[in-house]
Amino acid sequence: MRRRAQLQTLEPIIIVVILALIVGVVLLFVVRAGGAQDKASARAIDEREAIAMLRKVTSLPELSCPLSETVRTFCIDGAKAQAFARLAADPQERLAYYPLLGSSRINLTWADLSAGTTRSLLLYDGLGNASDVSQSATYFTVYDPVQDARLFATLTIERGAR
Amino acid sequence: MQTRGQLESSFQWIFVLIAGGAFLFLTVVLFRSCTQHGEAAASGAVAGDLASQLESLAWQQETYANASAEGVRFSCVGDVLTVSSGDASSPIGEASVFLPPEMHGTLRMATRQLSLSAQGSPEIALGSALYGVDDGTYYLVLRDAGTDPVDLEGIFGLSANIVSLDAADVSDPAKLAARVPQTARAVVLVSPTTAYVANAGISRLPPGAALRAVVISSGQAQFYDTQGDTMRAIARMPAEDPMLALGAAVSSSPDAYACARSRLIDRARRLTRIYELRAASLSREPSLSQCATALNDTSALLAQIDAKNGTDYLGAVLGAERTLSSMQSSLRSRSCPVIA
Amino acid sequence: MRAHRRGQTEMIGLVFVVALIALGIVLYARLGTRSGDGGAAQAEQAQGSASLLVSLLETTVPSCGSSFERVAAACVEGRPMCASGDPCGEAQAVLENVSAIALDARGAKYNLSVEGTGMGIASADCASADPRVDLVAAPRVPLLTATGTRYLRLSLCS
Repeated sequence: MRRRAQLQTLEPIIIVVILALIVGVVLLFVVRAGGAQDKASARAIDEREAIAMLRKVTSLPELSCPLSETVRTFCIDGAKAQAFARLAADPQERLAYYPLLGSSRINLTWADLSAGTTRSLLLYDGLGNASDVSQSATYFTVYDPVQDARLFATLTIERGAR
Repeated sequence: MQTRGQLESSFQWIFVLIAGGAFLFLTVVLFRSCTQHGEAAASGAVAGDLASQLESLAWQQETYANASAEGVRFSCVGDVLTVSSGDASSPIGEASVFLPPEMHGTLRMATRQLSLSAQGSPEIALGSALYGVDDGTYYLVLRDAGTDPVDLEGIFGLSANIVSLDAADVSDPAKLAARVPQTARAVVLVSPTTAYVANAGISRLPPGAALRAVVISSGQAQFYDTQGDTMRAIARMPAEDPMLALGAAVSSSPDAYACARSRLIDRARRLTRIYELRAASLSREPSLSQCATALNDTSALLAQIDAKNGTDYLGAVLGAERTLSSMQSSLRSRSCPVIA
Repeated sequence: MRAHRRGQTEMIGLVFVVALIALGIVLYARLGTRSGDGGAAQAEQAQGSASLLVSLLETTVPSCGSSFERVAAACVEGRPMCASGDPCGEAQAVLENVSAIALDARGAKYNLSVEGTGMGIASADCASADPRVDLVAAPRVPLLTATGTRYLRLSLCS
């Protein structure tokens, strides 16, 4: 009798606790799943923005190959790139490109196959102390006006969190 | 027994209340943290989004786009073009963007490149600018001797709010009013001479519409606003190039025009500086010794232009178009690296 | 008897609820922690691979003064070209250099070749990789020659 009475007392307590547990688990699951979806969407957006950034950089007259060069795809003029890097080293000038290039670091590497050498150039560094840096790379050709040749090149972009 | 039953019942209710309250509290906390991650205030989002869109478009070449919003204003604050919606505002930053003072619905935008290109020579890019025409504004382009002072139709195509009419018709209020509906929120006269603006039959234009005028003549843009029933001259600014004349007509406001023009000049300066450094470094290459003199001359001319101050710089670089273009052609014909 | 049956029903209900909670926890553990990275990383590899191929075609081959595309076409057509007179050797050298820079450097497993010719380099046997499982990306670009179209293909496998 006594035990049954105790059990009856505990009944509503147990029911409420179990209900709260169920609701808590479901809510946690929904929030976590929603967070995972946000993360996947953010990554897809990051990837699209990286590709868009590459297009932007190579279409700038500050870096693009001369119009006399027949280009099917992305091409950067090596001599312009060196001049641009010199200009962008000045914080005031770099600020002018921040609305376009944002919090990012853009490195250009190209291979001079005839000399067997690889050269690197820091085009733009607006990364600062950004956290959560993501990196993407793609391939271009750099036009070398001295050799009148197209050199295989890699553009590496590190982007900081928005 | 009865006491125990009562105590048991009270205890149950107390516990249900506590547990229910805790559950409600948890739900409210979760709900509030979700809404805090939601969108910013509507006005701030509109201004910020539009500013980003404009900034991004302005760097591109030969691009078209539309944007829709109501009650958005564009102004030049401290030499920075700013988008405002309600109390919120957002700067456009470094891009060269020619926009009307207000947006009444849809803004139709196009980007164009400023470049030096004499005939037969590859063009030398000097930067790009974005132009926006507002659908609620009617642009009356006065044609004189068969020529329009700016080519708005060429950029934006035939549309209801870009009207080309004979300059002589501007003094006829009925003819003027026939081309502008009562729903127009603003009217801009674009004229080749001040005479047409002074004689404009503006008395029958929509009373609620803001009236402005721009006279494009001899490389200058003269801006007018309305005082009663007459047009009043407010500012004169250089418009050395058809792209700048277009910017003056589209912005129809001296402050906004000045902002965008400054950004265009800044960008052109950076480009000519890059071209100068490039030519100088290439002239020192031993394998390009046959091109050294030509490249040196190019670099020297660009350095001379770069040394000009802001107001003289654009005139200098546009004035050197033929020389730079012929240098470009000469370098190309000798298989030397071109300027740009 | 009736009380006994009610007690049993209550116990069954309790067991049912506990089972629901357990199911919820299991679902959460499986679905909530699964990462969705695979698709995005693959798409990035495919885009990067395609741009590698197009850039390779436009790369100038040293001592030939012409693009890889033209030199490879000369090799396919059996025409002499370049200072050495050996377009196939020159094109092969460029393939090896570019793959070292762009692929070996990041530890990729790949097969880069002009299909139907001897020009190619591989770090792994991607040709026989199961496309549903092991093949990450396999873009190709056309190489136009007088004898027909060949394809420059890059197969990346895991």
